[in-house]
Amino acid sequence: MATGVKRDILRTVIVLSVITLVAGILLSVVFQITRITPEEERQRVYKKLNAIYLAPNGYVEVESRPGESVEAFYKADGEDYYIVISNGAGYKGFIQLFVSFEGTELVRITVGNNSDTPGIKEDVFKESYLSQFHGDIYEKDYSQANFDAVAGATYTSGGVIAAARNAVTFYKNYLESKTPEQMLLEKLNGMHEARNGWVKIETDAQYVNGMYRAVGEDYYIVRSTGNGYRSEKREVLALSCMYCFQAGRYLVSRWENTRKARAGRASPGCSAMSTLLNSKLTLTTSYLSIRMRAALISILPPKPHIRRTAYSKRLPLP
Amino acid sequence: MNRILGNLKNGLVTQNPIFRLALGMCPTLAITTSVMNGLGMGLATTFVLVFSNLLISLMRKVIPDKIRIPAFIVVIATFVTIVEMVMNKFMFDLYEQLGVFIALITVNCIVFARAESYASANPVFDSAVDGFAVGLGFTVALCLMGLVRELLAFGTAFGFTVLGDWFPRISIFARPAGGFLTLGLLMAAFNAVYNKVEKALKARREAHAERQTVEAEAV
Repeated sequence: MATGVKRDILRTVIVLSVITLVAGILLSVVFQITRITPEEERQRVYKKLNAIYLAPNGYVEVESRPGESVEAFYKADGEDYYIVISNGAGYKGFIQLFVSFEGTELVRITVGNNSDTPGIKEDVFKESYLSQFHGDIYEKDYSQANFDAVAGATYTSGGVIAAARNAVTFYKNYLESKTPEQMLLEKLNGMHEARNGWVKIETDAQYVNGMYRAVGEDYYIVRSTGNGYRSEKREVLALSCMYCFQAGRYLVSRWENTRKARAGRASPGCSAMSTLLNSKLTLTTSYLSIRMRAALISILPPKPHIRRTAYSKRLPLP
Repeated sequence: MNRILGNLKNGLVTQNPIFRLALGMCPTLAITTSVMNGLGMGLATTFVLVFSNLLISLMRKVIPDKIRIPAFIVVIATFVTIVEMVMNKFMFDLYEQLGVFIALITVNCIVFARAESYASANPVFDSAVDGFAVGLGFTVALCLMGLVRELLAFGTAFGFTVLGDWFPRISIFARPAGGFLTLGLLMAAFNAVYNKVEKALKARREAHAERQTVEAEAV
């Protein structure tokens, strides 16, 4: 072989190898800098979840094995709010839905990743369409024939219906795998982590759903009920609240179905009527809490620093 | 200075990749459903254009002619991958929106055409300016397309509602067919204006030359 040809081949090989080598080194450096940590990955999911419902204590991934059509399952920490990420086959690949549940009620659907045709899919992803899935999962019939499809976007509608049904089925299974006792325990521990568990105290006080004491601690939780009003849907609903007491003092309270009450108060179309009714809600709740404290005081062994009279002066007790 | 201006004019108007050369049609039709998408895509392509032109021009005397295509491809693919990684880290929303089209910049014929026809035969600085100019022309064209389509299909611009409910939403403009329509109409408008201006300039030049010859004859 002539030396010219040899040199040509050598030059070609060396030049290409050097270019590839430099490219490789550069890319690996950039990759190290821009690497997405698992923490960031998790933050991205939480950011999406918080855009749906801002949970004050953040979200936790519920330990259960999601199935084929359900990607992940999250719970708002310390609250009765769950988000199921489910999939359904649309026109082009899967449509991802973030389906929110509160107790046994489906309260919101948000659309995630999908690659259906822009300009057509928007009609399906509108709130007015997605709201047809809202409702109590045990009262509402979630069979396929029960839901409308948008004309001209039947595949996309089908995907959304399938994804919503998958989420409901999954969530039902999750609820049924837990006994009411387990769910209550979760709620109690969400307020206060009792090391030795809880014991129920019998009481016949009015408006009281149950009283619990953390074993070996001076910590009590009282569950109470009353009526509230949700102005947006113009309905009266049963509200339930947990009051915590430590060392005989009122510590903190939390609604067990917060958003319902809050949605009522923050409703945009707050007419004079609903303002009136909402102020009634506030009245009811404060009245309740006063009754609650009084009821508790009557049950607990008296402590010197509890001022019994303070409450009774304001409102007559039953 | 004149060279830079000439390069800029070349990239933005005379050889505008979309309206004059009709290159890079795939991302143009697919992602211009909104202005933000067009802007993101345009800027990503500009970055790749500038750096690939710069590097290829730098190595134009080293790379043997026979293997220039694989060499260009490696250089371009490297920068595209860098853009993709950086976008994934810092602009995740846009990254999700553009999807596979970022990776497809690698085989975008605008990038390849500039490398092949300009950078491999011109000095480094000129090549970088050329890359920037062509990228800018591409970005402007994509944004225009995006603006028209977003306005007609959703009544918004940059995600803000501009046209009220009185304006009927023409959803075909968010679909590929609407992309073709928009592209054709914008291209026609662009070329109509371009030809008119060019004609006027030519007439003025001719008049000027004629006056000069008349003056010369008089003298």
